[in-house]
Amino acid sequence: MFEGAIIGQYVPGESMVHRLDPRTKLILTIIMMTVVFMASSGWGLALSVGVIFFLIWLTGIPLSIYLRGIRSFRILIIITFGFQLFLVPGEPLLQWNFIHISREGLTLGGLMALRLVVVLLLAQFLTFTTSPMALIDGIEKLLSPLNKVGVPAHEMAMVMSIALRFIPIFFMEADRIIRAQVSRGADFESGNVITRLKPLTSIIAPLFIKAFQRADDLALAMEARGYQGGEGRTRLREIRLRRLDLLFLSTGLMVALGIRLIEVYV
Amino acid sequence: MPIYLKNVCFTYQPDSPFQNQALNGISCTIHDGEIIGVTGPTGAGKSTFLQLLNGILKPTAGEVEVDGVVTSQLKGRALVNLRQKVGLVFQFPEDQLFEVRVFDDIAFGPRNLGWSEDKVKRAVQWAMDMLGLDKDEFQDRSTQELSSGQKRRVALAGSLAMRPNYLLLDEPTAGLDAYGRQLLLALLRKLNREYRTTVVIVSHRLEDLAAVCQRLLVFQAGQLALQGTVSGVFGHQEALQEVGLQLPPLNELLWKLKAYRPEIDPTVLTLEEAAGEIERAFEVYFQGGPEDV
Ligand SMILES: Nc1ncnc2c1ncn2[C@@H]1O[C@H](COP(=O)(O)OP(=O)(O)OP(=O)(O)O)[C@@H](O)[C@H]1O
Ligand SMILES: [Mg+2]
Repeated sequence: MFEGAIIGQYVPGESMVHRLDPRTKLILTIIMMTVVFMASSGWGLALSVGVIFFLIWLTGIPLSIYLRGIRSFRILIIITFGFQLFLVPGEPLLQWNFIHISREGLTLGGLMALRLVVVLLLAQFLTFTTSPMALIDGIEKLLSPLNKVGVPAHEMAMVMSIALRFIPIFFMEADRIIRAQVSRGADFESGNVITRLKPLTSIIAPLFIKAFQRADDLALAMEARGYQGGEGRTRLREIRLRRLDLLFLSTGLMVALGIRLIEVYV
Repeated sequence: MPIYLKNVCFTYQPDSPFQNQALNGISCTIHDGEIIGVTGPTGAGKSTFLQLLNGILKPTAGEVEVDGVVTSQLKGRALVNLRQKVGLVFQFPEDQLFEVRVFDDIAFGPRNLGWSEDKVKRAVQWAMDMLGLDKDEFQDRSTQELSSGQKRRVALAGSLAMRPNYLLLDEPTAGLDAYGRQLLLALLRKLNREYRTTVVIVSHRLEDLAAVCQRLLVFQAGQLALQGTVSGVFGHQEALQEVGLQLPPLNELLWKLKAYRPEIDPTVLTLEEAAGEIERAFEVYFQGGPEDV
C-alpha cells in the first residue's frame, strides 16, 4: 500500500531554503540539473554533487528522508544501470557465456544512475521546501512573459495547481479503495498475470469513476463562483524576490559557471 | 471465538515527519455473537481500530487475536481467509463498485475466496435477499445506473455474500435517511439473531448504537476512554460530553429531569422505559390522570 508516497510532498519548515521565492528554487533546480547533465568529467560531477548536498543540507530536512524518496525508484535506477552495463559494447571487463560487461558500460551505467539520483534529489529539494501553491505561482510567473506569444500561462498554471491539489486526494482514494477491495478478498500478491488483472480493475475502475465525478463537480463549482480565466485575476499572496533570493541565484549561477569552466580548461 | 486485543498500538507512517500515532494501548475483547458499538469524536481512531480487526493494518505494538490466531503472523491466503471470516464494510462502500453487472460485483468477494460458481450463486442470492434486492430486477442492472441508496445496498451485499462470522461496519448509516437507517439496523439485528454474526458498528450517532448494541467502546485520541454496556456508558454523561459526544435526545432529557428528581434513571434505552421513569418520578402531578394536569 502507499505507506510512503513521500516524493512530491511538502515538508513545512523554517529553513533558509523554505523562505526563498519559488522562482529562485525553480531556477536553481534547473541550473543544477543542467550542470549535472553537462558534466563530462569525474571532477565536474563530484563538484556538482557536492553543491547539491550542500543545498540539501541547507533545507534542514534529514538526508534519510531524501533517501527514502529515492528508494521507491530503486527498480528504475537498477534497470537503467543494468541496461547500460550489459548492453553497451566496448573493452570487456568480464565475460561469462553470453553475458559481457564492458568498461564503457560500467561507466555509462553508473553515470546514468547517478544522474537519475540527482534528478530525484533535486526534485525533492524543490517540492519538500515549496508548498504546491507557491510552486504553481512560481511557474506561472516564470512563464508569464510567454503570454505575449500566445502561451496560456495562467491556464497552464491553473491546470497544474488543480492536478497537484488532487494528487494527494487521488492517492488517499486509491488507498481507501485498495483496502476496501482487499477486505473483499482481493489478492494482489499471488496468482499469475491474468488472475491479477481482476483485482487491478477493481481498483482502477472506481478510481476513474470518482475522478471524473470530481472533475465535473469542480468545473461546476468554479463556474458557479464566476471563474473566467486569468485575465485580471489578483492573488492573495504576492511572491517577490528578496535579497536572499538574489544571493542564492547569483551564487548558483557563479558556481555553475565555475564548474563548467573547470571542466573545460583544467 | 472472540477477538482479543492486547495493548494494541498503531502508528501511521512511522519514522517519517508525518508519523501519527492513531491508537495507543488498546485492550478489549469482542465477544462471540454480540453487537458492539464503537464511537468517539472524529480522528479518535475508530476506523483504524476496525482495520486492525481484519488484518488490513497490523499493530505496531501489541497483538490482535482472531479465533486463536495472531493477525500479524498471517500471510498470503491465510490473510484472505481472515478477511472472509472478518468482513469489513468501509464508509461509503458504494465507491468500491466496479463491475458492470450487479451480480458480478456482489460475487467479487466470494470468487476471490475460490468458491465454486454454484456456491457463489447461492451466496449472492442469499445476500441479495437479506438486503431486499430482488434478484430478477437487479442482478443484470449496471452498477453505475443505480441510485446511491441502491449502490450502498449492493456494496453491503458484496460483503455479506462472503458469509463473514464477524461483520465490521464503518459509519454504515452516514448519508441515509431515517427509513434507510431503520432498515439497515433491522438487517444487522437479523444477521445477529438468525445467523449469529458478531457485529461491530462504528457510528457518531449514539441513538443508532443504542437501538441495536449491547455494549459500547468509546474512543478518544487513540485511547479507550470508556467501555461497558450501553446503559453503563450513558451513565457517564459528563465524560461523554468531554469527548464531544451527544447522548440521544431521550437521555439528554432524562439527565435534565434528574436535576429535579434524583431518583430518575437517565440511562434507559427505550421510549416506554423513559415514559415509565418520568411517570414514576413525577407521580404527584399525575395522580388524577391526564385530565387533571
Ligand atoms: N492513511 C493514513 N495516514 C496517516 N494518518 C492517518 C491515516 N488514516 C488516519 N490517520 C490518522 O489517524 C488518526 C485516527 O484516524 P481514524 O480514521 O482512525 O479516526 P476516526 O475515529 O475513524 O475518525 P472519523 O470519525 O473522522 O472517521 C487521525 O489522526 C488521522 O489523521
Ligand atoms: Mg473513520
